[in-house]
Amino acid sequence: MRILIFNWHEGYIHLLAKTGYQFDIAEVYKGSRFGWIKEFRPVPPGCRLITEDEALKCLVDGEYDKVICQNVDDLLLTYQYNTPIIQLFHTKYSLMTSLLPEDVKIKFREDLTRVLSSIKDITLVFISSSKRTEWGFGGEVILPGIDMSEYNGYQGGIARALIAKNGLTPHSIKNIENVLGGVPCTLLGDCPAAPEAHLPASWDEYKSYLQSHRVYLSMLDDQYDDGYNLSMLEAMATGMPVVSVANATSPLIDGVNGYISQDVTYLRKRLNELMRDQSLAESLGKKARETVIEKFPLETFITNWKRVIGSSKGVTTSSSCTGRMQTVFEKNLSALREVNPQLAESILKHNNETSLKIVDTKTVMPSLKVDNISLHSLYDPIKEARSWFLHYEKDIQEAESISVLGFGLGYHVVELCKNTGKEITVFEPRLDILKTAMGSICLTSILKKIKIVTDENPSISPLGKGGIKGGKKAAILHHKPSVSISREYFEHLITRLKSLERINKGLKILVVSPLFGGSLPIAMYCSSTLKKMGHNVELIDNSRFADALFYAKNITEDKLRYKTLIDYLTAFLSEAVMARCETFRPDLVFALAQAPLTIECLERLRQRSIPTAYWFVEDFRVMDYWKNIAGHYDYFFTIQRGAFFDELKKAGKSNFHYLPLAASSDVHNKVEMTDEEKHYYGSDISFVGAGYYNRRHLFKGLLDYDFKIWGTDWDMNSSLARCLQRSGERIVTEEIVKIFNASRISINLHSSTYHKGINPFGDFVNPRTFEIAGCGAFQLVDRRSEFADLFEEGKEIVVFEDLEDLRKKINHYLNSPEEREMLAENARQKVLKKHTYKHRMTEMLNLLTVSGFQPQAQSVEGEVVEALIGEAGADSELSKYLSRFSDRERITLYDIVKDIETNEGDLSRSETLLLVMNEFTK
Amino acid sequence: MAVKEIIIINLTRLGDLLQTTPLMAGFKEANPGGKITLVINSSFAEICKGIPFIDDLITFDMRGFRERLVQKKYNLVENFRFLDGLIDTINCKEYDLAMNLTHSPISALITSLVSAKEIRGNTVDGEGHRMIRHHWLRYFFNVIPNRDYNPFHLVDMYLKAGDVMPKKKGLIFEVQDEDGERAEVLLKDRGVKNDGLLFGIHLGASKSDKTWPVSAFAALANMITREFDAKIVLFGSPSETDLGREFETLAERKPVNFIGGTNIGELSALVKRCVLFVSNDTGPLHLATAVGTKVIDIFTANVHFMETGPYGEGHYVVQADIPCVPCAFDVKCNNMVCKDVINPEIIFEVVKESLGRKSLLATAGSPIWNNLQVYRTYFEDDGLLGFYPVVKKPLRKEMLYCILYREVWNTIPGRSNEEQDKTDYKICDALSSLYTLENLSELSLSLYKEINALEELISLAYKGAETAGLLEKEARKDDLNIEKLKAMSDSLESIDDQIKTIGHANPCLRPLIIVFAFSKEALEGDDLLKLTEDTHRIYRDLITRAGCLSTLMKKIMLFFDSITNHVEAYENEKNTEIHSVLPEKEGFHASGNDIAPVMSACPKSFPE
Repeated sequence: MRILIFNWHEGYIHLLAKTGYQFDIAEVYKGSRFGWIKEFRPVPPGCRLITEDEALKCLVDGEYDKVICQNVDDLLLTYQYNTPIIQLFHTKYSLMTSLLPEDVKIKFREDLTRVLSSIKDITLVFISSSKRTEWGFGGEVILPGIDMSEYNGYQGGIARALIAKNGLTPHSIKNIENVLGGVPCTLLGDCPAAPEAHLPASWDEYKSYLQSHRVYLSMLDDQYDDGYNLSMLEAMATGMPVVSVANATSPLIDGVNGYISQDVTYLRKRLNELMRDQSLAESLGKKARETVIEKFPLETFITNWKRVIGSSKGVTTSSSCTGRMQTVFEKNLSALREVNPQLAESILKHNNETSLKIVDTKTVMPSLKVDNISLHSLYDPIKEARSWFLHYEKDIQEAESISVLGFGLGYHVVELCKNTGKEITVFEPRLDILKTAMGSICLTSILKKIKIVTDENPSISPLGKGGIKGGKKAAILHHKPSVSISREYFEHLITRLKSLERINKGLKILVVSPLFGGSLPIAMYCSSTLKKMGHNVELIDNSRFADALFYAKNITEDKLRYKTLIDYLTAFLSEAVMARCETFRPDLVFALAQAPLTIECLERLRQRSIPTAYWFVEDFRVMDYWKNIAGHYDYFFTIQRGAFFDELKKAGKSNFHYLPLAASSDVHNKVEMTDEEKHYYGSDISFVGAGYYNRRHLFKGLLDYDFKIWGTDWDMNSSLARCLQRSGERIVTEEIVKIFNASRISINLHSSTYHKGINPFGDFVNPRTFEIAGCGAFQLVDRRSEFADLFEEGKEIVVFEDLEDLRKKINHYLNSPEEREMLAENARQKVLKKHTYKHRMTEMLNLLTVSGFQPQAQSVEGEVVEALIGEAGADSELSKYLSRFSDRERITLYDIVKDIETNEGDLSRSETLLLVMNEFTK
Repeated sequence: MAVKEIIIINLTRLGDLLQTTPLMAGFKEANPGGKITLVINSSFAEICKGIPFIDDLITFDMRGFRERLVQKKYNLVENFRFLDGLIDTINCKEYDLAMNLTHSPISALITSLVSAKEIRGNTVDGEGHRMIRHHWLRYFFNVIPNRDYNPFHLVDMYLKAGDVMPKKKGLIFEVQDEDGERAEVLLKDRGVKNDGLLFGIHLGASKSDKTWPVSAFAALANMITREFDAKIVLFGSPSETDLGREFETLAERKPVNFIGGTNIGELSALVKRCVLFVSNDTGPLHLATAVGTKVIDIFTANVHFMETGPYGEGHYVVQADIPCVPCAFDVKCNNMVCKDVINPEIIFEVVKESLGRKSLLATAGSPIWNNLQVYRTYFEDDGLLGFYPVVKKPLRKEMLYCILYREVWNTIPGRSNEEQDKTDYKICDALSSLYTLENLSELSLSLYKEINALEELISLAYKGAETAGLLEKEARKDDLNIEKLKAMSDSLESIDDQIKTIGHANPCLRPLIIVFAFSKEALEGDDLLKLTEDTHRIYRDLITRAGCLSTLMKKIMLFFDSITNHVEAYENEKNTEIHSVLPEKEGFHASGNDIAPVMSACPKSFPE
């Protein structure tokens, strides 16, 4: 096999020759020197040096089997001769184009894409994955490999630093001097800017430099270079320590196999240290050598190159789409799989039997027609994508997150990713389009940067994280042809995105708690979580009235009378909510199960267009009051689905959603305890909770263990009484967390009022499950059908089926502390990742938008600043004053007065008059 | 300074506007050719027709502006322009003096924008802090917490702030001829004869707390109509219609009910036709006073006759004489004993006295006066309004201090001994004529303690003046020693704290200290020298006033001693009944602090 290569990089060609292939090396000018520089490397055996003319002649005659191009010049010189090309990318795109003006850069890229796609047989090879990502083309990544037998024998006797680099600029020399801070240094290379620089006389001399000098200095800039080059790896292979400026892709670990930092002072200190301490240099160098062995093995390099050179590549002409589709599709799919395996799987399985048609354009890049609508320009799709981007440029700049409606073949998304690092979500309901795009265009550079959403009712987390109040601005960018072919989907989506944008700016939410009971703490958790998410939350804390309710029980024994009393109390508390709504004017009233809101109150809220949501954190089979209230709330959330959803549908309800319980990341945590506390709260097995019927039965079977029961409603006369702690008094959350933390095994048995142990049909998962997990504690929990979607059985959670199984598992896990710890930690991680109240509240708000929730405009207060400035007249004192608010969209008189109050200096006439106006609003 | 242009800002109500008329009259007298611009709330514009001194009237539609802001029909810029236009209208000329007589922040902010050479009253400084300029207006606005000891009527405080004293006394309102004619028609329509005797009654007030019960008014009306061949005429605003209806159900004779049925002009003419006007403390009462109709003013709740009683001679005010009267401004009383103790029978007695049918003095000593006092108004020698207690009662400390403070605040430094003697005599004279001076020992003891406190206060004031003097000297130096200045001002701060403590411990002395403290707070500007000079002056003023009060108190003590001795002597001799505690011999001589008290027998300077 005859292969043509140009002599750009002696070191690399020397390595390539280790594949056993023989190369014709065409000599060219590089910098100030012509031809092969023997001082760097001898000409590899079996290779011959030829002139460029000879090379071209052989090309014309079709004598070569392959051409390895190492830059664009090589490519342009050779691509028209029908010889298969391997295009090798040594350099980053950013370095290559760093000096080009923006328009030339674009032109360069377009031309290169065009050339590359016009070549019938071409394989792209990149020397690092970062370079491949940056270029945005598909292709092989072959890392350099070092022949460890060639580099060895480090002594480091000369207390000097060493740099090997050609063509250093005065600027980089200055940087080097800065790092050196006076440490003596030898500079090897062809550098006209540095008079002291010289080339070694031979490769052997070069190697002896590596052996004798104390340390190698690497100045590779993150922006333009990988964190290593051949010289550096050779130095490391010799056993020489490296001191390097920070670079994300460097193989160096600071203090382990060298020193790396962005702090120049630090590097200077380390250099000086190494100058003083030869043995330190030796030990670091030893590690450096090991790093090269591990990360840059020669064998892999050779194997990969042999495969690339030897493989008779599939023909990839644009006329034969299948061939290219296969390759590109696979690459795209594997990139997608890394970030969204589900979608990758769906795309893979999707059967494209639709009216999609790939069509040629005037450029080499294809377009796509769907039902005769072209999704991209038939003239120049890349250029079109550029104008699309420019159209939205301002929105993109101002946005904090970006939603793109429609994927098409992705040209516009590629353009977008190239120009912004912001969070991008692309919505495309049609899998067939995505599949076609994945098969037509190399998208590997963008698939990891974007989030693709395809669902019919996409569960979009509110744009941005946490939805910080104020300033969260989402740009919604339409890919118009895509929107027009899936109009209904996108219309619904746009409404939702707008609602979400409003939600992210912060809603006014009135949370209504019950008077007491299990949903009371949940109300507190929801309220504080929503607050943390940036919403303006007010909590109606009805627990303050619990005493009134309990007292009412003592007032009368007549049930009817008692009910009347409770009805009055409920009416009173409902009226309080109405009163609060009048002043607070919430966007949403969010009530927890058992919240004392009358139907009349709910109807009045509805009349006032205040949306209401209810989280029914109850078992619908036990508590059937949902039948009366579900229809009166605008949104109804449940912890059960299946049978409950059937019942709700049967009752003619809609707008209900499944929202499982969760843990509070603030409360349910690992805690430090004293030995005394550990002893007090700890036991082999424990249970915290009320003495429900099924628990009273099942727990008798555990009496022979070190078993502590904490909580209320237990029978003091039963045999369980001896396990009961603190005579069955109520345990506060803070202590519960300690009990979970201190117990070796926390038993979690879902309550039942009629089973003698486990409810074989239990579905929902109780809060305790999440709370124990959140505490990083180990639990054994009875089986629930909803576990499947929440925890991974066996990895995160252990389930028991009956008493016998429970005892078996207690015995096992008491003796396997490590297994317990691992399971508990896995469960805790799962909670933190998926099951906190923040996840639930985010999901709740998201589900609201699915059901058409649109925050009312009423919360938008104030007047538009720009309009006011305009009206005040350009030169007026008032407009000058108002212009200080031009960074805001709206202002109220109140905002202005607050501003005046914080200003220093004398009041202006305008300010005084604005203060007068404010007095009138009091 | 010649005051050619004055602007008066008064955004208050009817009664307050009428009470500004003496100030306007005084200004016109003192500044021939001078022009008055009046800025008022447009809701009360009508009243200005009868006020003769207004050259330019600027009305501010405050209710309309509030509605504009609430209804949000206009944007911020449009609302701004509305106010901007008002200020432009005000500032279409340059004023020599601007006086803001309104307490509100709105008026203060507006006043700060008026282009005037001098501003008096409520305003804001450059940085927006509220300021009250002029010591008399500072006195006025800060006197509220110490109203027990305030001896001045609102109108007189205005006059002092304006530095004028009109020859013609009383409020001024000119009834227009057409309104007089219209009133006759209205009366005729209701079947009232031309010469029919009319008693006017106003049942309402700006706040319901301030109203005497309708049933009481009705009972009074019944007594009047039984005794006199007269008609009762009811006045009031449309919102008081219900009160009128209630009255009608209780009255034996149907009244002529004009409630909600007159404009200000008609009201003035109708009120003028009345022989007597009985009312709570309201705007129409001041209108009646202004048109020359005698009034009986019933004070309840937080209003105080001394501040807002009828400003004119020969009117009567009735107020409960119980310790909690008047209420503070920021409280809501829920046991208004002050209304209960004023019963219709008593008011009817006052009605008879005011019409010359009977002298209340005849009933002195009767238990009906136990919790009540009736005052008749008169103008004192100093030209200011005074209240003469119609029924002689024991002297209470508050009353004594009121009399003393009137002297203190009126004191002109450098008064001759002779003049001072005259004043001292007058005070003693007044005390013995207006009050029964019995059981003085307790009062004497209290005065004794307060004199001691006052001495302490004076010595602190001297210390303050001395330090302020040093501060002033230091400030005159070219090379300022900041540390020294700071140390001195810290030392002043500590002196001030001690002064304030004395004020807290001795409420009767508090007015001195309040005026002192507010004067210091009112210091403004960046000119260090001017600030130190002013500071120095404030301490000197405190010394003068406290000294004046101290001298007066000492004399009063001696006077009390003399009375006590006299009584004891009398008791020892077991002589016959005493009509007066005063010896018949005339003369009251003082030489230095050694006073030889000789008392006069009866009041000379008070009207019959």
